[in-house]
Amino acid sequence: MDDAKTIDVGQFVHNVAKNKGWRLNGDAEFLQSLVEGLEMNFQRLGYLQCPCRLSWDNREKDKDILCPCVYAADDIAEYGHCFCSLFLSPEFAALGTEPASIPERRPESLFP
Amino acid sequence: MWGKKTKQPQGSLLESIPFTTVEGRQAKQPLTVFALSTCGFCRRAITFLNDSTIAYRYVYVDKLDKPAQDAVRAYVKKTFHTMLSYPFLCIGEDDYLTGFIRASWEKELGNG
Repeated sequence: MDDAKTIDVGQFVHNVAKNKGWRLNGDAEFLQSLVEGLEMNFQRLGYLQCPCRLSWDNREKDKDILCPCVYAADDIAEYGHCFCSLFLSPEFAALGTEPASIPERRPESLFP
Repeated sequence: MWGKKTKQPQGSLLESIPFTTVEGRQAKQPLTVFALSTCGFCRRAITFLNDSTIAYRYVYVDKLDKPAQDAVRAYVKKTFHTMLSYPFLCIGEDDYLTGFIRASWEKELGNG
């Protein structure tokens, strides 16, 4: 194991949710898949890139999709959860409905 | 040759893509999924297809090299005139679903 770069992603997303007043996705398996996705991206790239979007492999070009992405707050306000459905609004979380994919707010021009 | 019913197949763009093929009952149109290995909705979509016992093929685009990623993106752009976001389900070369919205996938694929 290369332990030069390690990060506790589970703790990270917990802290983000707490600081922002959001909730983590309540489906433990779904949440785990996103935590693992973030860990994978951290291993690949050295930064916590959104697991639901393809990377440029360039931190500067990916800077708007470092988790939590700059689109998360607007998506949570409008749809009740972020693009990945990692973070939920307390209201949406309380409904207990299964999140579904939402439209991509990131402009197409910013994608690879 | 430019008649409206002679759409040029773009499949050759995908020649080098190492798809994983999942056996099952045949859908009306061949199904191809572009997914990210790190994304929760992509995982849900693949689980949905596996549970439906339908035949399809998929590839994790984040695991491809850059030229192959570019080829996939070009294929989606030329064939469906839309941007690639994940998961992306190609239904033949005429229709697609983007994102995983369970009700939409059930409606589209429910009758196989």
